[in-house]
Amino acid sequence: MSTIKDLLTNSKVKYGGYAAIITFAIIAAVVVLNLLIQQLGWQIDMTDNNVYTLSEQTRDILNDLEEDVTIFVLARRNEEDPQIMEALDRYEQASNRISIEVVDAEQNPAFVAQYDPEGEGLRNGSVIVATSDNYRSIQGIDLFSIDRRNPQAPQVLGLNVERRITNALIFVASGRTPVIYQTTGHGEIDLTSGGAFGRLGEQFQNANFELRTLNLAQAPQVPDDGSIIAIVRPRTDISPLEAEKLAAFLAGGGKGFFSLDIAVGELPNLASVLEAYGIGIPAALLVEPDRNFNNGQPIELWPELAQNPITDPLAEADYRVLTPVPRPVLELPTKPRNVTIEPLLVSSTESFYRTDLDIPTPDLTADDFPGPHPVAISAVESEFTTSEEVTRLVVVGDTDFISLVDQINGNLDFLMNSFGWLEDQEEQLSIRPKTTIQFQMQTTGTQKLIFGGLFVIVIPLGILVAGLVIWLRRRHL
Amino acid sequence: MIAIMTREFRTYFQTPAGYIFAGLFLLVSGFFFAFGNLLNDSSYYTSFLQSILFLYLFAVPLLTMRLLSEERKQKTDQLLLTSPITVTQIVVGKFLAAFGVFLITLLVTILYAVVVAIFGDLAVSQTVGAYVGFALLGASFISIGVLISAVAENQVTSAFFTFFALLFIWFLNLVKSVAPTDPISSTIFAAALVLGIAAFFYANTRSWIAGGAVAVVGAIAIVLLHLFAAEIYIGLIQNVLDWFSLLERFDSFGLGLIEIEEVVFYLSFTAIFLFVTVRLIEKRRWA
Repeated sequence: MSTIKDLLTNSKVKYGGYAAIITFAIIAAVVVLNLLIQQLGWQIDMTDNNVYTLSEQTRDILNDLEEDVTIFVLARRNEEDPQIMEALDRYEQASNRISIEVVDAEQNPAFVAQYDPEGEGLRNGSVIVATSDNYRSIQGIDLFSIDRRNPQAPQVLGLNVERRITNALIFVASGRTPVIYQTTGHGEIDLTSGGAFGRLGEQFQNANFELRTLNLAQAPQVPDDGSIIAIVRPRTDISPLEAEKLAAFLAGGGKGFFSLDIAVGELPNLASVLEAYGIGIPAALLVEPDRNFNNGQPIELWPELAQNPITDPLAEADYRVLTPVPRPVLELPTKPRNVTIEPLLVSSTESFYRTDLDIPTPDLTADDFPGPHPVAISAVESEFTTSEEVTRLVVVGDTDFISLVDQINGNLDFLMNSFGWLEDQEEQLSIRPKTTIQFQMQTTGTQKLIFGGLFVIVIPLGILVAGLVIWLRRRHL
Repeated sequence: MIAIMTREFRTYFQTPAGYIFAGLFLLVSGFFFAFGNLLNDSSYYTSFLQSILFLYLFAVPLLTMRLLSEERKQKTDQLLLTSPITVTQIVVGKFLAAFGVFLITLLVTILYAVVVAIFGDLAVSQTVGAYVGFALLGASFISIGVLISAVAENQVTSAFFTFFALLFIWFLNLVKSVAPTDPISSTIFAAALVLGIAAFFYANTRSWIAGGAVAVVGAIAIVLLHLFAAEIYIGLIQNVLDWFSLLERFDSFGLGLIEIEEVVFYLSFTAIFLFVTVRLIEKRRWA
């Protein structure tokens, strides 16, 4: 019968135990090291446009969060989209107010119903961004940017996670959806309408705007819940009474967006409202002879981007805005001192505007007004005494640029950024969808055959034959 | 170590083993590249690397089966173990030789990427990231093969068990999705884990006291965690399996993201398997 002391001192216990403890300790140490490094979350983003790196804007919003936000990913367990999870993980790492939970919509219908009161169908693949009293759900398909130019074969271009999630964060954090009233009754176009304007309505929804229409002639005033009034491509001028209501709305802190073209000609009543802010809209055509700034035609402009919060993100992304047949929008010498006007899009020094449209030559004449001239401007009015901001305006001397939002990224961004700036949501301006998915190779049938043959037959067979030769030779040694 | 590595490396190419490995690997990967990318004119290269991950199942056993088992069968292991080099040098040398053959084969596949770059847009940095992950994953798998070849009696059993070990890793994801998440099963799982560690100590010491002590300490830890950090028991099995899921960790590389934690994980995984191999061989000396 051995004593405990014997047991502990026998060589097997001594060496075996020692070895076992060392083995175990080393493995445990490595596990702990891994867990520690996991906490650091260091990573190298190898993608060409830093798909998995949050933009500065998103970081700012995350830093300003005052409430805990949960991002629910609806997915069957282990079937989450890895790209989306990676992108969402960045939010969780960047802010301890953000947590991510995966919920299976099929197994938890009651949970999903909470966030889908109208039963629109939130399925697996969707994402819900929620605070304790506010939420926004995002359909799975909206997390990708999709090229729909060919309706038969829409193409997934990349990931749209950051844009959607950050906008949802702004929304749930502020809990407010600004309303844009679009005027009717003068042949205006509706920003929500489909057709040539594609998915513009959806864009506004994604940017947290609600679009409504308003017949200013019939309404007693612009409703109080209105945040922005938009007059887009009117075919006739507004009435003096409407002008009064518009001026009252702007004076009361409402913001204004105006998109006007030359086809409508003089707009004396609207012009009188804008004149109060030092903005002139002469009935004139802007002509751009400089080929670097026109689209082949001297009246189709790719104006230069001025430096300001609306166009800076476009400049960063190397986007330009195409404005076909614009009219100039001018800063008047009579501009009040409490209004700051900044040009957004400007024509070149060679350009000019022409009020007498009967002049046949495309060249500068003595009757024309030489440029550069703004195609679009922004204006901010502040209180004289307190310099507190009263209102913001954006006036664009072009309407066709809106119908080009589907084709030209710069046009879409310019439009959406303008509304974002009016509503003071500068954070969300520059977040573009990021492309991860690569495009096509171009090979001919012969090239496919040559490379396919090389990779499937020649290389592997060559190696195998070499192996066979060596084996045979060594067998006879 | 270098001597072992070069000797082993040369053996691969003096016997058919290296050629069979490289030839078959490139045959299958060439096939996948031709059909996945070339014929579809798709320049999405990382998806190609993801599609050939399963090749490891067959390629790694081929590569590692004879590394240590053959020495044992030929009784040359006695010679090696009594030579003036350490066991660590032997094991690491052999591992590096196998990894070297694997890397050279992988280098050939860069030709595919070159074709993509010529005829389309290759996301270069993303592809580099995916290759880094692919090679790290390969190192982890090869280390499993090295360990198994050290305990296997001959090449055939070595290859066989390596294949099943890798297959098990492949099925971890499935196991994970059906594993229960409730605290009770998690506690049972934790208890099994503790018992396993206790058994490991007992097997190494043949002492009931050592094994028992570990079991008691483990049991106390389980209870303490229940009292002070009960949330750890929700989905514990998933979390542990997740952590060991080598394949899932490759995902982020495939997306073009090099996460340092994944790199460290693969390197530590490889190091631990080689370390355990060394301990096992050393144990033979005194056991």
